[in-house]
Amino acid sequence: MILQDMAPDRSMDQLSNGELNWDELYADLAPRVFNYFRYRLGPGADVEDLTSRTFEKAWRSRAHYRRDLAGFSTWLFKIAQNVGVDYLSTRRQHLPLDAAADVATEGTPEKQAELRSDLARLAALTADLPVRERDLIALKYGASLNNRLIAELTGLSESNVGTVLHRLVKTLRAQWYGVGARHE
Amino acid sequence: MNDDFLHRLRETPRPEFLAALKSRLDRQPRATRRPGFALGVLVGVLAAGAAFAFYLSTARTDGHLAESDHYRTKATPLAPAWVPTHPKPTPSLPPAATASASAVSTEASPPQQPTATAAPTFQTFSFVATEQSLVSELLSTYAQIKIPHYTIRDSLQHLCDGTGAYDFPDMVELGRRITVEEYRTCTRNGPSAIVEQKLGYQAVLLARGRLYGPLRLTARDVFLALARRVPDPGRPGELIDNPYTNWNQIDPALPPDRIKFLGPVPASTPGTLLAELLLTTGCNSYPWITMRHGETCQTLRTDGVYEGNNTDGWTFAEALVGEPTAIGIFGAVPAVSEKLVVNPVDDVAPNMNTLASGTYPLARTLYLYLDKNRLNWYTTPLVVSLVSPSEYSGGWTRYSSNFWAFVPLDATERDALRKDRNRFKPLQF
Repeated sequence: MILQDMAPDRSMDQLSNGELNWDELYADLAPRVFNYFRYRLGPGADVEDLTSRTFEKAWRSRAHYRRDLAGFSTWLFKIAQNVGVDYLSTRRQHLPLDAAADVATEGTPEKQAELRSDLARLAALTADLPVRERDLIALKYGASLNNRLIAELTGLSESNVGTVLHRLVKTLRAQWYGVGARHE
Repeated sequence: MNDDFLHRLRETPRPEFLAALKSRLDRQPRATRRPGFALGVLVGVLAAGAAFAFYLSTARTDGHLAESDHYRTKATPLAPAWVPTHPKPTPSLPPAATASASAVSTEASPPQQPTATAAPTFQTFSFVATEQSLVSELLSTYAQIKIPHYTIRDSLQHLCDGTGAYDFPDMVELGRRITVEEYRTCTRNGPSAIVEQKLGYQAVLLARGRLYGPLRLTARDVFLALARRVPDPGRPGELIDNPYTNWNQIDPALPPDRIKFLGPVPASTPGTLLAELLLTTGCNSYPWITMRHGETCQTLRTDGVYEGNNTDGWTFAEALVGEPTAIGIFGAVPAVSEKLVVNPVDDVAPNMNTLASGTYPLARTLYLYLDKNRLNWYTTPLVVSLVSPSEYSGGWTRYSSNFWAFVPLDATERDALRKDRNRFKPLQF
């Protein structure tokens, strides 16, 4: 199932007293954080554990954001970023670029295996990108955040986010399909 | 933009995992907000605005601050910057109220139970730091703070001055432990009680390509190789411009390789920290230098032996592999490439044990010194949070130049600190 590409600051159902619906918020944000870690750290990371850690840190403070969805989302993803950094500092994940082709050609009939294979391929293609650009990819396509929220999390301007992402996707697409190949 | 190949990699988490996590989250206690916080913030901001206007009209010139251009770094810009208007604390003030929980950490140990008879106003928070300020970036998520950058001497003066000539900061970040003399002066003239909290470490490590392996270097060798001025071997007690070009000129036991270092650009924030971390220990082996020529311990040579390099990661490692006699300088985080080998100094390799014990010579311990009378329900959790900066700070602090070479306390030290019932007990010598 492909998640809807919406930012967490879309209008969410609120309780009659104006407070956020935390159950609905969790249902929306948990998959985003989960996929942020998948995109950011690749198939070898224990993304369930990292997702749990992120929410456990953030959830106890949600009362301070009980009417501020955007503020809580920003807070949550800042924690996710730091959890990811801590994970990487204790465990190095490296997949040489030349392994990308091998990974991409592994074939199993299972959809899960195909996803893992493609994710590993993405990890290999992004391994040598600057950390910030890897994070942009994870925030945009893993967490499905809009450029405004990404700008807030990264310190870039919103227009810079768009420009950098456009360049990154263009490069990755050429590497993914092969330079010169035409794909819809 | 055709980016479907990226979108389709998303995956739905296992329903069992989501349900189990939600169940755990629902059992967590929920932090509550103290009444009147918003009003306090409003009062603080209005007062700060007025005070800031006053500060601008009476601000000192830069010449009063740093001892030399090598120390000076630009204060991290804040929007808006403001000046606290709180009066100098006196011992007669009641202990500050503390919260039962905070937005930052539920593991905080409040120093005292609330006994204040006066209603606490919003705690304006000021902070004075030296050189690179880690704490300013960490705290910027939570508070509007003023963070001028001073030398250690001036920072302590701000905390400990009893004449009213300086602002009275809530805390000071220092790259070393306060001395007994400084402590006594401080408690005599300034705050009646000072709390010390270890923040972490700053360390650099040396590495070379694996072809020739590490050099057997001492801290003094590193100083003699990199300082702009070094002791004149022919005239004891005198300094000369660094004449050494090869390692065996410093120590005949070392190989005749040309001395070459690659590291951060000297004019950068990491570069200003670098000089201190690289040179201090070796320079201190010459007491006459530290007493009479203190700036010698902080000044790198500029004749090409040290080369500033803006690249990082893979590119920097490849540069060192291509020049196997050169030594690369790294902040202790991130880890060094597998193509390189770490070069011990004084036969000590950098790791958490050697940082904690103080035996690794190219490192220093960062401390916070706080006026205990300023600890309250707002500032205490913030101070607690600083011990584990990666958990609470903004996502980019790890990439910030202020965090270059920063090593936070490991889990063992953090746990010990959290469990220490005397954590906020006044420092005593």
